[in-house]
Amino acid sequence: MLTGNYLQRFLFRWKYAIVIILIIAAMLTAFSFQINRWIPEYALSFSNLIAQEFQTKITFRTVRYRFPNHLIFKNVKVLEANGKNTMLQASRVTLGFYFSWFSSMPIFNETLINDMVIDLPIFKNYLTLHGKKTCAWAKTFPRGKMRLLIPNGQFYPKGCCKAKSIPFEIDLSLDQNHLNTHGSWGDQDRFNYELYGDIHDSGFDVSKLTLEDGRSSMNLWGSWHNNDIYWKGFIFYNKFYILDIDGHLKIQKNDISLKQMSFSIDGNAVTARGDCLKLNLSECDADIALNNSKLHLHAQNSPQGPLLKGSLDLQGAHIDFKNLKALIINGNSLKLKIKQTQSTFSIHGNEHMISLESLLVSINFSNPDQKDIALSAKMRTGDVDGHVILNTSSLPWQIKGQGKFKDIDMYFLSSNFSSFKQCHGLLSGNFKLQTSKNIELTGNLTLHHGDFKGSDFQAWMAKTLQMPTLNHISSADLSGHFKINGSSKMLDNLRLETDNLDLNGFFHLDADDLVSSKLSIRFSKKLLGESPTGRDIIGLVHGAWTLPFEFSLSGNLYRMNFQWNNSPLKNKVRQHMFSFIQKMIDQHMDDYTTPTSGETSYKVTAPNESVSPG
Amino acid sequence: MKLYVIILSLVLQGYFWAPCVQASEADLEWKEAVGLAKQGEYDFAFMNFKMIADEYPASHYGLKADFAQGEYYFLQNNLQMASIAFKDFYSKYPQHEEALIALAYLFEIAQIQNHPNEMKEYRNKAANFHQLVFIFNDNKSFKFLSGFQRKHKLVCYINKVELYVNGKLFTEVPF
Repeated sequence: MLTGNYLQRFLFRWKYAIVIILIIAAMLTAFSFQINRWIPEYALSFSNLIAQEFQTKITFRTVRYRFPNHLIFKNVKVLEANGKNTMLQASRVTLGFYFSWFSSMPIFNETLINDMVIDLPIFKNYLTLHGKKTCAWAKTFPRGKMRLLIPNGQFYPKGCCKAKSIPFEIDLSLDQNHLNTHGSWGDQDRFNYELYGDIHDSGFDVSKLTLEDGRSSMNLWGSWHNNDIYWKGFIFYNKFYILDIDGHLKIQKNDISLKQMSFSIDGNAVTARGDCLKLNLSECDADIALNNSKLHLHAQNSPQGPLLKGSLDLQGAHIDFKNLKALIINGNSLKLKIKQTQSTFSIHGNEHMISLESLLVSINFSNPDQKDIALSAKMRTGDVDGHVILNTSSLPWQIKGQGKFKDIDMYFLSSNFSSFKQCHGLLSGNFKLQTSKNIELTGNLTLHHGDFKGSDFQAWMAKTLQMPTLNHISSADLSGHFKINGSSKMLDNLRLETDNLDLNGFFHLDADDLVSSKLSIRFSKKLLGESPTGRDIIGLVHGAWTLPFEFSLSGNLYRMNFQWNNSPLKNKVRQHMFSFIQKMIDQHMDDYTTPTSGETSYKVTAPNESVSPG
Repeated sequence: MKLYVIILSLVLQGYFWAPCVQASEADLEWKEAVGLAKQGEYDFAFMNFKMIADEYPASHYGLKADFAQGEYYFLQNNLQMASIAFKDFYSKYPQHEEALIALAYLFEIAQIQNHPNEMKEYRNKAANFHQLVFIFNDNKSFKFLSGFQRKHKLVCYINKVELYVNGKLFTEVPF
């Protein structure tokens, strides 16, 4: 009996429990059924509202509710307002939500977007047009904990399916005002990033922004409040340490102004500042100072595209350039087209100037340690072509280059070398350039139809040899091998041919303008006859004009010492001339050059006389 | 009239008399200094040369006395003071051939002290000292007997200067 009662009571309780469970299940099923019926309608109307507000179109294939607080959208697309181009799409968007007592709307606190695809050009275009409005709307969201996860997104930098996509990941958490995000982008060259900051009404503070790949890393911190962006930090990039970064950017309605920017790169201080009027970069000025170098850039928009002009001050050299156009190709090659450059530089206090026109420069920087530079330009009547390899793996940068020049009129070099002021002739040749401790420039040059007039060297030759014709040499062909090493200059295998003379030899000039030269000159009979000494020589030696004079030059460039070296011609002259006449000639030459006003006169000694030390 | 002539003649006598007295005093000092140098009393000779340089700078012995001071320091192996003295000498008598001898000394001192920049400076100054033209000759020489009675001979070639002292090559300045 007792057992029967117990069983009856037990079954009674279970019956109630099952009924309650069934009722709850039915209610949940009804709720779920109802919510899944109601949610698509709500989501559709809500997305239409958003789309209308922000000039977009949002579509999705299905939306369903997942217990307890998740909505799952499938095949979501955000299109431009015209409905043709897709900005964003995702295979699945999961939204976590909860209801608050203080809000009539559900609050979304978790978003997971799977397989997100961004068409970057369209998205950028949209943000340019509606970015401000979107940000203002985002600010109206209730503040709380929020998390956004995009585990396997990808974006197309040049438009959807036009080029290879770049994968990215985002994990963003927002707790009240504190923002914390990290993730990555890139496939082979993968960058990881990390950002910590605080959002305020006037902007935000970034306490840490880190970007790093296998070779480089960047650490920045700063703030963006109202119109002012400040940042500081350091970067390790490709063996270079960029330290003490300190920048200030001011953004105004039509103006972006880089108030100041400074950093040091491997111990070299760099400072920059600039102004951009109007956001479309219609005008921009920038000054960059690197140690003793200063670069000033002025950019201006024109119907032909942006034009750049500026100047570079580099260790005593000043380069002005106009109408610079720049184009970056595939991220590893820079093309520069400069209509006109004018470089002025100083060597030993003398001002020099080189003007180049239609300068075309190609810089290939695919190899981070080596820049490959090809350039060509017009130089008045002629052309210059060159190829330079710049090794940037260590400081100071190493330069190796070679090139050629053709048909450059010497007259146009007169601003560089005052000696060429009244000289003409077409100069051609080739050169090699190398910098190590010093700059070394070597090459060959030829000059055709040269016309030399009024150079210091000619004046000196004409005076010393007493041949006035040498003041003006015409129809000359010149060739030689030149070498400039640091401040010393050498001209070897020198050959000068005219109707009146045939010259061979070398001419070296050291850093202190001291000359070392040996020249062999054969004068025509007419030219030799101009000089009183020459006339004497013609009278003494039969066919003297067929034999070369051997000369040595030495001492200061501007008042060179001169010696007639021993040679068959000199020996023949000696044989026919009394010793006292030789001494008279020497005395005459002494008087001819400017003697010092010493109190004691010199005693001259013939080469065959030994110098007695006593 | 006669009075004027007498006054004028007295003034003129006074004008010429003073240097004559000075010259004779400098002459005596010089002779004494040279005598001391010959006896090997270099320190006392130096004192006399210095006095001549200080007291009678415009005399005939002024230049030689100045040179002797540099020479004394060099002989005493006081290269620093010798360098100062020869630099002063060079700047005081830049147009005199003896200045080129002083440059040769300065070059030698810089070489002993292993000061390449100074060697270069003196080489350049020596190269710029003359403009030489040799047609039939190949050198020019200049002789100088110093206060310490050392025979100096300077031989200038187109690309170098040689200084002989007492018949021995003292230094060569190539350029």
